[in-house]
Amino acid sequence: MDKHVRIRNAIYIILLSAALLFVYILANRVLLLKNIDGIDQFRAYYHQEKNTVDVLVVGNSHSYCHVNPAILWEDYGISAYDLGGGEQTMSISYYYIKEALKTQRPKVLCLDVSTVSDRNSDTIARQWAINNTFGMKYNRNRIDAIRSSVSEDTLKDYILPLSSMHERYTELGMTDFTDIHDSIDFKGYRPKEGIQSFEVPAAAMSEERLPLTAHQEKYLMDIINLTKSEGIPLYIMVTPYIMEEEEQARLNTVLDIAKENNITCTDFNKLYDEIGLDFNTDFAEKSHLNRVGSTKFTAYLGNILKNDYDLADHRGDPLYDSWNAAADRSRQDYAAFYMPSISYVKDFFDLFLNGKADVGGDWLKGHFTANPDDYILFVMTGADRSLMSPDTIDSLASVGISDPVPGGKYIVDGRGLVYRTDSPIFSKGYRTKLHDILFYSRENKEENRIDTFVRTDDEEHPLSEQDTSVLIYDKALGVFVRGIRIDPAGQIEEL
Amino acid sequence: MGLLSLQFYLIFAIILLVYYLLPGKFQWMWLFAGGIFLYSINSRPYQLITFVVIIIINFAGSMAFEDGKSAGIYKAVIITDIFMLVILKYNSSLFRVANMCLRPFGAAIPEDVINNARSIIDSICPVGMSYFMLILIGYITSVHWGKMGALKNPLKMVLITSYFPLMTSGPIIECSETEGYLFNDEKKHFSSENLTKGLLRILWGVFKKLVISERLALIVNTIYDNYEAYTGLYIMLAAALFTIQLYTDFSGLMDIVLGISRVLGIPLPENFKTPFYASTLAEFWRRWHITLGTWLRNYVFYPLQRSKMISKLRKSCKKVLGRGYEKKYNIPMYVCLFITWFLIGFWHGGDFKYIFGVGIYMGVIIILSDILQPVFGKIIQITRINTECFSYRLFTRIRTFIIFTIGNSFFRASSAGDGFRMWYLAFSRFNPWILFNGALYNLGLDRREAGIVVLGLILLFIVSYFQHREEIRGSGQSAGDLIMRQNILFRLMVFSALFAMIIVWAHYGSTFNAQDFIYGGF
Repeated sequence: MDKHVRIRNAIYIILLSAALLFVYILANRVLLLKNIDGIDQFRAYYHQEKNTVDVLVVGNSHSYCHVNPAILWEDYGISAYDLGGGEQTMSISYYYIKEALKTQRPKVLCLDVSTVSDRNSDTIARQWAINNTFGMKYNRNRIDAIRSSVSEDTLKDYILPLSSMHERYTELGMTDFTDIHDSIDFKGYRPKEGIQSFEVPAAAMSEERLPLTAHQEKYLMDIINLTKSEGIPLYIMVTPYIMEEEEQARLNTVLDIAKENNITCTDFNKLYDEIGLDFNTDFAEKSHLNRVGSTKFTAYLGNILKNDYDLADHRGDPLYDSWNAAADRSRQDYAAFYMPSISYVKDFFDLFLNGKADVGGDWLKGHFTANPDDYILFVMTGADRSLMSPDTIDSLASVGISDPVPGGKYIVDGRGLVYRTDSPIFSKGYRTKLHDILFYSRENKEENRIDTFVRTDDEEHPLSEQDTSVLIYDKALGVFVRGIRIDPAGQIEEL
Repeated sequence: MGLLSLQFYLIFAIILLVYYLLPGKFQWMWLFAGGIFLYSINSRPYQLITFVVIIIINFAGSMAFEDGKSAGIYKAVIITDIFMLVILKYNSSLFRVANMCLRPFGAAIPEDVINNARSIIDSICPVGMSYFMLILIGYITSVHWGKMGALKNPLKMVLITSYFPLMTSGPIIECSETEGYLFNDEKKHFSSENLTKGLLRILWGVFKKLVISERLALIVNTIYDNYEAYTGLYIMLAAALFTIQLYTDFSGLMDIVLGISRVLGIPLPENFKTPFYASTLAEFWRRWHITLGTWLRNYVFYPLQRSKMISKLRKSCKKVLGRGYEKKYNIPMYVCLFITWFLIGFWHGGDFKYIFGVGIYMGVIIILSDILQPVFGKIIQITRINTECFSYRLFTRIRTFIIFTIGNSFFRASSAGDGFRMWYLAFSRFNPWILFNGALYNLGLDRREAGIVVLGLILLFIVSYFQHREEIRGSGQSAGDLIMRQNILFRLMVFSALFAMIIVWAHYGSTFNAQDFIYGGF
């Protein structure tokens, strides 16, 4: 064959292979499940600057639900990262650590061991195996992690990630294309929301012992040996949750093993009072603290870490800027979390303007100063001006909406009032990093009225015709954190 | 391990790599080895033994006629082959016939005896029996007729009857044609054209099967499995969709088989040629499962026509009906046709639903259309219908589709009785509203999934359109060849888009359990 033809053919085949490979990789990226039960934790981990993580927290969901690196950073300048996976087995923890040590040399490795407590089988369900391992790079550790935690006959389901991910084409959303977690700024923390009230668990004081499975024990020892040989201090901990007696018995065995091997360990279930946990408010459900609880726990843990380990204060070091971003982000999350609990219009705008509303628990009160640049307000005044209380009018004026007219539409952001119209039919776009927001109205012929909406690709919110409505969009989180209707008395109701 | 499994393609990649490194005269041996390896890991030991026994009998036979020893041995071998095929593959109908004969005497073979016997037979029946036995019978007969010389090397005979891409699903090759490609000592060099064209064809086949056919199967299964609850248009819809499902399934499988063989540089005969462009049922069958039709024509229909029985019949017809009777009622030919069609139906599995739906029904329609041809011609003449226009061609194509679909619907029914009952139900209720009230989205495909099917069918139509256009032009080009003539950017885009649609939309992986190929089990 002619040499030129051969070269041309070779180039063609190379290009074709590259194109198919590109499609394959792209499909894998887009279709990969984006969840914060392990997958995002590992993906973001790879973005961290080399050797910047001083405290690495590994384990099951307790690791990323209970330890908030933002607090460790704000209060102590500790650079921490939550590298956990939901329902994580001890064996997966081992491979997590192996993989993690490729890029970081933590000054202390915190291992939450509560995984051993309620498991009789050494394998985990498919969804959890996926959550734990699909964020890892496709390498030996990932395959070993899968192999160590699923039954042999199901192994083939995990070899080609697409074979269990491709059906996600029905649920692709914005985060599959512009993923806010897939970044250096994410430090793994993902608190549980909600509040449930519990009795203080008596089982926490149990001194019973129950054996671990051989599998759990083997990998616990592997972790101990690995960290010893790498010279990384291991800190074994049981973070607070409501356990049964049997579970505590297994945890006691782990703590025994730790002590036998001269590993520092703490059972935080024996320290409820010291931490200051309130069993009426601090738990999301039986096995997890909520945001408030985790804030208290992290503050307590931070104190221990600061005192017992040689951890530098990195605040102000530009290499660690991403922890500042994580802290900002965390405050934002707290605000979004607390905003729904505001019930009076003045507080609502106060929070927006000065961040000085009396919300958010102790940590937030000390830290939260809302940055108006982070928010956009979409306001529509009620059809009848008389429905607006003096407080409402004052509050509107405080954000720059002076002399509001009935049915007026306003957009306010960090710069002040940026848009104002009185015309019934209107349409105004506002572009943010994550969304193109449309503030608009349309005629509803059936009901003979005009409906007004604020919408993005993901959601659409109708505004009230009678009362004054305010919608707050958080630019950093890419969500509407609150939509309210202000009644004539200045009381707030949900839109 | 089927043609859709990852393992197969990994093994195939190894086979391919070594294949092109070997000198020409070893290439066929390597294909033999690879084929035997794949066949063994897909078979149980007893199945392999049966396979070997069949090969030994046929090889010994073929050697014998080479020595000039005659028709007696040929007949013995053929009868043994047919006997084995019937016993191993079509035993269910044997048991049924036996029970039918016993019934007047108040006796019957107990159900559990039949089931036991059948499970034993199944465990020794070689994989792909219906296909390779036909190839083997064709081979033996060709040797006997002197169409080709007997292969002196038994391994060559194994390879030609069980070349791995077509082992489980055809096409049913004509050994005298494929022999030249498989066994010439000239080295088959790696060619990027074969690789890319073969790959494109494999991808297209996978798309047809896993994106279109598997989705259509959801609707078809819903209706067929509960047909008492779905009457009227539902049934007609299910029957029509099943025709398309079967087409995308079987022709998709053929695309994969031919694509694989293309990558190896060995052309195989086409099994489908845009069947839905056919304007009569006879033409349809010349475009659908072509190699089965060709085989039966060569080894059943023609020999029958030359047989003593038929020439006797011809004489009697001449006596009774007079000279030139064949222009009006060619009864001897109809008898041959009927027997051939009966066998086509029977080949599908021996059940009456196949014998009727894919066999006798099709044969009778073809015979009737031949008989009534003059009448139709008259009608067209009197009503001055223009048959040389698009609308008339469209009419004949739709007519052919409907006629085929009616017979084909029995294929999917669980029995012939169910098939008839379904058609009764189809006409027992007139429910056109299901086309408008969204009820069709409750049959297993929601709007989005239905949209994917529609997109797939549009692509299928576009490909078929170009394929058919080339057929009319007689260029010998396929739709794939047309794509390959385009600029590289376009080609890369076609590959990428097809690949992307497959990896995202195909029914594979742990949550979808793709059905076996419909024609893979015969």
